[in-house]
Amino acid sequence: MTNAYSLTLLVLPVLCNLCMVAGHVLALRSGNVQYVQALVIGFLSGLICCLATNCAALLYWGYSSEALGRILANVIIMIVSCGCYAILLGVVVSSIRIRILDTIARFHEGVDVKWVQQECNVNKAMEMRLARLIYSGHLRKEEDRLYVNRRQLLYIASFFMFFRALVGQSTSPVKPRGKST
Amino acid sequence: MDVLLAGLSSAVVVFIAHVALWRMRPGKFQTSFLILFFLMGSTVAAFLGYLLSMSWIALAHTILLYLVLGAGYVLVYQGIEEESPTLKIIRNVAAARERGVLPRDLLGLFSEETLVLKRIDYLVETKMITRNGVILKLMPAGESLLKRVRFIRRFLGLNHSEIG
Repeated sequence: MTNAYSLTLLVLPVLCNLCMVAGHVLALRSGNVQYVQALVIGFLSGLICCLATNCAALLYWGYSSEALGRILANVIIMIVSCGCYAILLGVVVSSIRIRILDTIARFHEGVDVKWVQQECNVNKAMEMRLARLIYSGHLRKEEDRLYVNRRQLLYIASFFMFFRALVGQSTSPVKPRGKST
Repeated sequence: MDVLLAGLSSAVVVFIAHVALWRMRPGKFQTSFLILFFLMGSTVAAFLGYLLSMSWIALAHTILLYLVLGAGYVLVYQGIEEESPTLKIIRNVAAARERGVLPRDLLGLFSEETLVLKRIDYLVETKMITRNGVILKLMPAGESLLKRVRFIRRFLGLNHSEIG
């Protein structure tokens, strides 16, 4: 494998990640698509870019088992990056921790914990999540009752349960923290 | 296939090491430790690359694959550390099967203790905020995180009504 081929295969996943972010940002800023749709557009642009450029490199420089391995590595990098990007974006958009920081930041002299609790209202957070789950089609509402519509998130939840069992933590594995006032 | 195998196997080795440590001393490993643990684990990837006599470009590719897998694991770990409210809702609705669930029945799933107070404790522990009696104040670390989050929100063109 030539140095140029090798270097190209190293740089491609970085460029495809940039393509994913660009696709997502452009879709979101166009104002014509919703948050989830923009994310899907971003993922698709990244994945298509990854497959197209890697295949182009393979066709141009020729097939070898090493090249195939590195192209597979690039596909794995791209898929995992999409997942990481979605999680990070979830943190930026709807993390309760960020909401708490946002609330405290409004008061330079500090703020009462009760006020923060009121601002980060549990019911409101729940309603917001339910609305998002129904909108994205993961849940459906029929005669006031909720049902699972798409099972993808359920598989993720089961994966986490399995993982907890694997590490020997059936409940929350975090160490007990100091009591709140 | 060397890059793929070395990257995947080093991630598996570090993952097994983490699970073993976690099983020996449950709950002692916080996110910052995990990040450091995975960064140090890149030496495993480098060592495997050395054993396989890789070129420096192939070695960089192996470490890139390993780091992306590590980053994925660290982010997934957040979901293990504290169950996501969204996933908890989904699990409970699924458990009801064809009976379905009334939205008000889901309210009992969350308390302020699990949803807000625990997170405030975490922010105090990580020095993002300080707690003086009942008064909470933002620390420079929290301010800097918030600045970055606001920059990303502006960059993405997300307004507050969309954020909710």
